[in-house]
Amino acid sequence: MLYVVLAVLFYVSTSVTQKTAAVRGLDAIGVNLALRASGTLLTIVLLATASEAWAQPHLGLAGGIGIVSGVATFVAGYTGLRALNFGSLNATWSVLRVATVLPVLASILVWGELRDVRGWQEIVTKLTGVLCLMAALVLLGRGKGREAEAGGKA
Amino acid sequence: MTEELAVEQQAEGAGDFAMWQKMVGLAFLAQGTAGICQKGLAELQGEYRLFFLCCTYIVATFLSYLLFRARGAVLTKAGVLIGAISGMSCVLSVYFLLAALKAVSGVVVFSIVPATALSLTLLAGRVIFRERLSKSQLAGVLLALAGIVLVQL
Repeated sequence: MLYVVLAVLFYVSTSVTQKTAAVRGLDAIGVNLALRASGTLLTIVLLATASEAWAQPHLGLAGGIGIVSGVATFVAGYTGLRALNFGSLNATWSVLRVATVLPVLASILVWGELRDVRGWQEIVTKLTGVLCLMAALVLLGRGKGREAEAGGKA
Repeated sequence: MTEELAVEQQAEGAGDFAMWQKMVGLAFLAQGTAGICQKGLAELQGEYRLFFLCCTYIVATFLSYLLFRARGAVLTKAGVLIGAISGMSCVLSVYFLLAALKAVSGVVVFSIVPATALSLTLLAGRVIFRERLSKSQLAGVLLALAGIVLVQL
């Protein structure tokens, strides 16, 4: 659970710095390039110091998944920005937040994560929790969308 | 004449909506695919987090650079600084998310992390940027808390 907490904290830190960039009126595409470039630099430095990282059995497959992930990350950012030219920020933001339902569904359907759960009550409880969290993402995104539209950030 | 204009505007509106659907649909699929890639990586035997992140970021940087050049975007010193801090946080966030996926189920990680992070970002916005929380945002925070409890039960 410590990893979940750390992931959340760094996620918040990323959001807050991006919000700071938006508040200062900085060019979103320029900031995004700096973000990606610094991330690349950090991972290269860390990778260079971790010699065991090169001695893994499925390095090619991991690299392939990484490339697909890189393309997907870029496409999500670009098409998300383009969508704002044709529709409301509110609706766009909400749809994008709920995209997290895809890895959740994949975890259940492809990797059979709920198979180990003991009773149907536990499955219902967990799925209700997931639904609550998805609905929360829509509500949180809706507020964010309205706020940005009012500020003319779209 | 006005009728023709109305028909033209209606067609334009429908075209915009169709284009929005296409773009947002692609963004939805791409965002979801990135998450599925993270889950897939966590299922591999071995330790690939840094190698995976390195590949991801090299590809994303290259494509972002092409977009940057094509759009003639501007990069100021402040932009570099804020982007660099944001980039390092982003890498660490995914790094720990991948570590969490090794220990906790994807259902829990992919449900809890975004909702909690978005709630905390809104609370941080209230403290740092003195923003007000709307009713729907407050409801979202409460729903996120309820969801976290239910997923953990």
